[in-house]
Amino acid sequence: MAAPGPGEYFSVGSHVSCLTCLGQRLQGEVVAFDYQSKMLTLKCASSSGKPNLNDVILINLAYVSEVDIINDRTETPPPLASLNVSKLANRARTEKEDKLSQAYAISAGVSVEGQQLFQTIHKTIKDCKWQEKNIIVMDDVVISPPYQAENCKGKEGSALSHVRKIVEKHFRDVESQKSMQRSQAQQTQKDSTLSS
Amino acid sequence: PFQSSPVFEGVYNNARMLHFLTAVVGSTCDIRVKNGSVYEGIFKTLSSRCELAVDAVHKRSEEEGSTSAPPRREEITDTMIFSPSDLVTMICRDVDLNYATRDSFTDTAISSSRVNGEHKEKVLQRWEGGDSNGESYDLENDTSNGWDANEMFRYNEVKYGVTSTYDSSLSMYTVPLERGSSEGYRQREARAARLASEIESSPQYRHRVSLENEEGKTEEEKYSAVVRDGADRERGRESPRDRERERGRDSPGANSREGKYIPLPQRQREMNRERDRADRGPGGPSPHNRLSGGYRSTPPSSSSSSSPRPPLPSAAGPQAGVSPAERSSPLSGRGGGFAPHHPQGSPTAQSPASPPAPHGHSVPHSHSLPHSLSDAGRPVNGGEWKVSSEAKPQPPAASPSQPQPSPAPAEEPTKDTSTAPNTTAASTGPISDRQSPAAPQPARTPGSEEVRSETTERTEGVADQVKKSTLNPNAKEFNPIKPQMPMSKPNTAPTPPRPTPPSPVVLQHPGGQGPLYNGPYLSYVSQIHSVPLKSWCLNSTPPSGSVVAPRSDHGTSAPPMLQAAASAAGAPLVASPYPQSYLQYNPQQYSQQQVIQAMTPYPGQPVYPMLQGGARMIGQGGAPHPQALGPPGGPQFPAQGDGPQGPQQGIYAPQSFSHHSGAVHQPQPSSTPTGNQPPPQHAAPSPGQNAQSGPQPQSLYHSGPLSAPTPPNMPPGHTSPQGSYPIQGYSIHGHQGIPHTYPLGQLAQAHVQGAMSGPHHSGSHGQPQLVMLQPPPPQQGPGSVPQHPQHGPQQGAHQHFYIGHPQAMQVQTHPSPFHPPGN
Repeated sequence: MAAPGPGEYFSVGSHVSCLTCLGQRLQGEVVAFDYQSKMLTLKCASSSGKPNLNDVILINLAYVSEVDIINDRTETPPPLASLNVSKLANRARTEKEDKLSQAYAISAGVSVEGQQLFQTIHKTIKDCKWQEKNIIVMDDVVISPPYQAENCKGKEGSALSHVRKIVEKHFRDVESQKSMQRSQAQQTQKDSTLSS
Repeated sequence: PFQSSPVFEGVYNNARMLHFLTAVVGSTCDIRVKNGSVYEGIFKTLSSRCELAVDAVHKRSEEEGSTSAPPRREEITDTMIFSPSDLVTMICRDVDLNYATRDSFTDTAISSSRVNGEHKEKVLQRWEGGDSNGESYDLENDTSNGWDANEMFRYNEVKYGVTSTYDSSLSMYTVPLERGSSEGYRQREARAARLASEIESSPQYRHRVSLENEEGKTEEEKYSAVVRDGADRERGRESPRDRERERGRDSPGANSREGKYIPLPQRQREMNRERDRADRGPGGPSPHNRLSGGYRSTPPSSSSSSSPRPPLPSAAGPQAGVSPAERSSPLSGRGGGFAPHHPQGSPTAQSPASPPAPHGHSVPHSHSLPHSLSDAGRPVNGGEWKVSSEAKPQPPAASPSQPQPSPAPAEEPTKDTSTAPNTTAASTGPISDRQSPAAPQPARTPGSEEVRSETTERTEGVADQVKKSTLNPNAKEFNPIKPQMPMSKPNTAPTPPRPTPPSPVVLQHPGGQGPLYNGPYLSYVSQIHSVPLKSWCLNSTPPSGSVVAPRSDHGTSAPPMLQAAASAAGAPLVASPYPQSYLQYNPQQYSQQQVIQAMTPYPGQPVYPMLQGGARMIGQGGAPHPQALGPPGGPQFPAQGDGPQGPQQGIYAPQSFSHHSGAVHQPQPSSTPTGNQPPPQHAAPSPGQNAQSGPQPQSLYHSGPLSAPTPPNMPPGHTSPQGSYPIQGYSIHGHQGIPHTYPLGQLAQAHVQGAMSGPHHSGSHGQPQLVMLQPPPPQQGPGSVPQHPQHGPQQGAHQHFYIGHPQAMQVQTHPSPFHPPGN
């Protein structure tokens, strides 16, 4: 790696803030920097707030107008662990399949409720897919629009009853969420009126 | 590939960059390009020029971060490649950077792994094995090899309040040997001494031992064994008498701990005495056994130290039970049992693998091997032992009587039929040639014959003893996991089987397979025969039939048995790692033969859970294609495919190997003829088998070699020249034990069982095997299976067990797999 002049490169572990040419400000810890390609990789706290996850940002410094080093690295970065590439490749494949599968369903005109239900079920049961507008769970249970518990069809058994429970809970949660949002909205309204 | 490439280009040179961009493979990324558009997709890989390949991409609506409605299919582009010149940012959200590293067994992974769901960093503790970095560490002086067991018990008791129920006498497994002064006891002792001397006086045996101890010794073998303390120490205790053991089990409590058989090498010093010993009649009371050679039967008083006898080996003192020399011998090494390995020179105990035999007595686990070796006839495991005892009543006739019609193209089918020892001898000659290096066969034949005669006599005696035996019927069977060890040490195959005169089979096989096989493996020739049988079984058995079912299908109990045997043999195959050279050896065949024999006597034998082993066998046998069988992977996999057993098989495989070898050996030498017999019987039912048999020989089984190394060989009865070959070692059993008291079949079974899990009944194996058989054939491709275990059957998760998954390979920094160019 060509040794960049002092001040021209980032040390791993330091925190930087960048402003892209598109006006987006990005901030995070430098985990990698490639001088040749002017690519900088930052690790940031997860945007979803989950502690064990991170956002990883690859920035092309050619399109960055401003770089601030917030603080320099304090410790030597830990050594890189080896990666299980096949595991990653599998993840890439399944993610792609899932996305395409979902896209097919949307193309088929599935309602938003149906899509949400699908997402919910998919969290619990990986083996579910779209067939036209129907959700097929474990090749056994078919949920057809409007995707209510009574729309679950299949062989009577634990699978069917289990799926029904998931569906029922899903709609219950959706309801409670809506009501909560409503109450929150009301709350904020009150607050605003009070404060004003 | 990627690793090999010396120079990486572009970004690939940047390990850190590569690492993090690889770590986000498969996550959803938002790519923002120069014109401000945002594309969302699944990050797939990057090129050395930092071009990003993204799958399933769709253009996102302008609002940033908004979780816009999911895209429609027609909005998704399968794969897009973004040039770095267009890229402004790529954001991968909610990525688990440890996703692909979690399974790595590194300090980092360990310390950062979750504990009960908590993200708590584990504090790694410094290893306190000595502060010098291993350099100034004195292996010799450090007598504390890790924690002492008692220390551990104490620690657990104090810290966790757990009290160990460990009983150093291992009374759960064995019964203490009552060293009586009774006439019967003395006679047995004397007989044991005599037998030992006979075996050890065999030139072949000695030759083999010397090979094992000196020439074949690896550094590990030399130094990995537990070091014995002074030979003088407590020898009495440790040196259990082999004989006693052998008899075994007949003798009232043959304590493994009490009497140990000391392998010849150890006793080399005493070699002279041994010879003398031969002179001494077997009948003689135990007292003056010392000369007898290797066996150090300790006198009733187990602890040598206490005993009045002089420690000196040379001293011929008329000590009662045990010869002083024995005590002096290195073997005496403390309970460790590992002692045999001593470097002391040529005489040193057999290679690590072999140790089991010597140790066997001292250590419960080792039992199986040592026993079998010493008495040839006796099964290693308790279970086996039982079997043998049953068998005893039956006349040995079975082995000789059975004519084997070898379906295989074997050169000398006719010979097989002839049970006469002479024929065997003749056949051996040719065989040896084929085998080339081993030449041992010829040698062993003579020895074997001699042995035999003796054996017969012995066997009778043994039977009596057995009846008298007071062994604890409730004793748990010992399932030695150790068998695996043998695998590693193929060379050790200590026991040279004694070629039994009656075993024409061996010869025949060699003929057919001869060209293919390596010298050492010749003994395996018998496989050919077995193959047909197997095939037959396969045909007959239903694909998924339960164990029981198979039998019914066959109509004849025998077939299942055969299969079982085959399966047992098959297990070794699993070992596949072995070169094709081993392929020739078909454990299955042997096993089958053996099984058949066994069957005859006990058609109704109950089937044991040994299924696993059986399954393996079946798989092999069942496989329509011999080739498939041959490779290690082949046999196992087929079986696996059929059922869940697969994994188990894998696990057991090592054991099975040893067993197999045992089985194999037996059949060859003594039982060979018998083995042949089965085929004819079965032949009628399954014409197809024959056809298969032809090819099968080629299939080569790896298992053979593996098994060879296993303990079975260990046995003292090295008389056979073959001894050098592991397989041959088994033959010994056949000669000694089988012919006389035990029906060949039974013996074989015993071995098989042992191989499988130790003390399994042959009968049981058979059934399981059957099950396995059917499935395998369909799954395995004829050709493919054998060579590449992994690839072959593709068997499923189970297979993975054995075979490392290619996928599993971890790429450290380089995403190479993803980057064709880079590679």
